[in-house]
Amino acid sequence: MPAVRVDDARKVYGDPPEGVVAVDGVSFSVDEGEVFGLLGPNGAGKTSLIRILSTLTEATSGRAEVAGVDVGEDPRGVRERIGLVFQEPSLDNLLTGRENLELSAALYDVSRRQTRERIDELLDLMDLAGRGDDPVKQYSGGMKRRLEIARGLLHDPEVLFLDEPTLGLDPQTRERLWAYIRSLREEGTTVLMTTHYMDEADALCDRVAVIDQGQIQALDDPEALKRELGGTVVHLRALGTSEDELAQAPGVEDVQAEGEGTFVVQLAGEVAQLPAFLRTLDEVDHLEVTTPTLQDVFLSLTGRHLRQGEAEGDGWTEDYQRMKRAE
Amino acid sequence: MKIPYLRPLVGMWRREATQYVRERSRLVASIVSPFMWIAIVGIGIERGLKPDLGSGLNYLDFIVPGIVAQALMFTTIFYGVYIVWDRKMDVLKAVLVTPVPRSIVFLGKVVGGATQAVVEGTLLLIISTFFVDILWLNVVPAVAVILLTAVLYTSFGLALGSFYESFEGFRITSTFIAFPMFFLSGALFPVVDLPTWLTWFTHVNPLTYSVDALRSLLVGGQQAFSYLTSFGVLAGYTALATLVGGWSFNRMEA
Repeated sequence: MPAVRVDDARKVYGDPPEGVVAVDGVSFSVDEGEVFGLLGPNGAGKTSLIRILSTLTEATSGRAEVAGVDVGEDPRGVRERIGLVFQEPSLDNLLTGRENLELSAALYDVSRRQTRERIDELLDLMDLAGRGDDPVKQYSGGMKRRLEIARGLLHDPEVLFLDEPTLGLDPQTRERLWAYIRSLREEGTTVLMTTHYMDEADALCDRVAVIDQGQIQALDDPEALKRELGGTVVHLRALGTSEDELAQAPGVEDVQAEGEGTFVVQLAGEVAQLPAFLRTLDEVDHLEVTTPTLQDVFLSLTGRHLRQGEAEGDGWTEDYQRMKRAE
Repeated sequence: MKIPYLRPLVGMWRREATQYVRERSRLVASIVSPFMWIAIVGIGIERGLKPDLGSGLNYLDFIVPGIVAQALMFTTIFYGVYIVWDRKMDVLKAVLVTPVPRSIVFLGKVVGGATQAVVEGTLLLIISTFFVDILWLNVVPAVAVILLTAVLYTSFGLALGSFYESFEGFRITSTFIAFPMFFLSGALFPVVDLPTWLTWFTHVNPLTYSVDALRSLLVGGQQAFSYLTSFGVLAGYTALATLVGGWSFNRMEA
């Protein structure tokens, strides 16, 4: 039984014909224990999908199941089985971290005996053990996010939804949060996350659905998505070799000479081909290995960059700087 | 036997209670304004105008129960601002995504608001003893009136608040509703010999019944309505307000 199954879901806000189509016939399924990413620009329909799956809104048409329960038929059954971490913080600032978790434990009817144990365990896991009794208003952005993830896990959900888990966090916090999400996978929790950061999807997800304008454009593991686009690219400068010689080397698909001993070599397949190729070279002045990024994948699938004005590099840095400026 | 949803309900009540204890200004604010009504308006009118109320009560006797009821109404209607707050802070969304039914979410907030009102009411009764002689024998039915009034107006305030996304919008509407209810409840002057259209209003105004019952229970004097009528009307309005509140929470979008 898949942890999540979506079958031709559509979500239209407002009435046709003026209605805005947020989700336009999406189907996919997430296996148990998988970390699954919905990758796409803002407004692609990711959050709408999460809202449908977490019963916060009803799909206009189509079916969706979470942990084997139909979201339309038994929303309460779904709610019992999921944890949800929102994009915006949703904690009570007047309460302490522990009190926020206690409230959630009460709402999910976690037994009192278990509650204490579980809260200690989660505060520990999220590195908040020493700060549990401080009011949340004294927490940093990263601490709040970690507390929310702890809250999402409190009742041992079968599926955890993370909506843009690292939006607006500083670089160190972001790295640490990734480590926590990886540790969730090791514990066997199914995670369905949205992100518009390529590197995040790449770093965390077993499989990624690239979503744009309410539709899934591609769905595969990040490596496969990149492989489909093209293998490994090696930029090298080696005076003692020639274009013909390089073309004979193992795994080489294409060689382009750029003059003065500089070549761009395209290797088929994954990086696995790289050592064999490198062994055929005996003198190299300069070497640079690049792989297609998910950014390239997105570009080739949609003909658009993930965000307007974001020509190169990761959108995350820009977002972070933008949010810093806004503060 | 396990009572369903008791733990979520207690959890929500604890949250409200913790907030109340941490924000002492809430309690202080809820006491200051009725204190001024009694100490300034009450004493001022009693000494300055020496009104003849014809029922053996002086003006301070008259106004104290009215102000207690009035203060409860204002606090509890304005308590609806906390649902606007919860929505604004997105705390509401985190609650609505849990398996707890909306009716329980509503009930949790009502119990939280009513608790604060009863604390406030008790404090006001104690403060009142500095101004008037309270008939302590009647304190149990008086607290029952306080409780009914609190639940009634908390439900009403929360139902109203569930329609608002901004504090200002809620504040304007609730003030617009609360003041006429206060002025036409008999809290400040007897609602006799009024023009017909005002009499009509005083009779549909639930606060009239709270004031009337509370006054005869706390300081004696003549009742306009029998206890049976007052309790009946208040219970009816309370039932209606909780139903409307439950419905309004059900239709709320997260």
